[in-house]
Amino acid sequence: MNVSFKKMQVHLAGVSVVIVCASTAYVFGVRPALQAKEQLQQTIVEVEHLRGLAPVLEGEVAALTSGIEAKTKSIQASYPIETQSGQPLIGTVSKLLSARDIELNNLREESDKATGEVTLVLQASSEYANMLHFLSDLRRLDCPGRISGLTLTPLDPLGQRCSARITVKFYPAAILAI
Amino acid sequence: MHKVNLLPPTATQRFRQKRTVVVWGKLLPVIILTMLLTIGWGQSTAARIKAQIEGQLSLTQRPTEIRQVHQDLKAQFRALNRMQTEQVELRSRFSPLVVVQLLHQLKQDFNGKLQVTSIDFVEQCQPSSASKASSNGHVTLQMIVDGTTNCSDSMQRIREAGLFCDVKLGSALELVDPNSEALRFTLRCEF
Repeated sequence: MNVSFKKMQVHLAGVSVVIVCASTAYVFGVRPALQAKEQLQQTIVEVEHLRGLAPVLEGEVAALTSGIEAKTKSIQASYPIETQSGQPLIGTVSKLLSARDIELNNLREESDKATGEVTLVLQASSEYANMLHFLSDLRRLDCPGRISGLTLTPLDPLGQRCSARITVKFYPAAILAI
Repeated sequence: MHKVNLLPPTATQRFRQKRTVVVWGKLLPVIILTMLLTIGWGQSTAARIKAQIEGQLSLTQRPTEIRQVHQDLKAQFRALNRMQTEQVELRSRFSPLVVVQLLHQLKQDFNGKLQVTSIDFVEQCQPSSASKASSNGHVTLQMIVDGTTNCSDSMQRIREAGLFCDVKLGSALELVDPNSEALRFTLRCEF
């Protein structure tokens, strides 16, 4: 009985060593190889997909590049009048007024520090056409402005000249930057 | 012929035990060697496959660059669209110039029988909520026309221009001069 028990112990020890060896071989040999093989297959699939996609992407890149150029030009063309950087908006507006030969009677600036908005209230007089050009200029400034109030009154019976009271709210934080 | 085992049973068992030890003793080096060979094969295979993966990845360098450029350009395009929308939203949606153009056309059509004495344009200054508001603002026009027919005609023309959501009289029709047909009135146009 004692001898048989010892024989069993030897078998157990042997089987244990076999199991340990098999596990070690799997963990350090077979598994890394299988993982690498799986990774290779995934990589091949991804590479094929990417290489197949490349011509499509190249086409889209070309289209996007031209689209961006066109849009940039369109935005710049829509707002071609630049505000003078580092100077108050009054300076830019005054330049626009004098460029259109408009006589400025009164100009007031109110700024909201919290939002950064600047409101200009101005009273001016000139010929109708010049005043309309000035209003058009205000809409084409690179600094977005909203004409929130406008009162036009004729100054002569023929209606050639007019007086205008204009309220414009500017948003300097959103100055166009392309 | 009969075989007779003269060894005592304990000796036989010891002999078998020794034989078991010997068998395991020969088997174990083989097993360990097999294990080492398997590990070696696995490691070398993994290294070879990794080299293949590197080779495959080097083929994707150009497509990856293109994809990156594509993503950057898409982001740039979206930013431009956002900027354009923001610029439009922040500016006056309803240009007073359109009203002036309409009145200029009307004056020409009425052959001097219509006179605009004042234009008052007021826009609600809340860009974000402007679209939700029922009215974005209004234009008040003070006009002088000859006769009530011209008055209603001018109102109708302004309504038909489609610029305003509502056009109504803002005052009563008043005679400018008792000796003439000229009427002064105010129009309130909502946009």
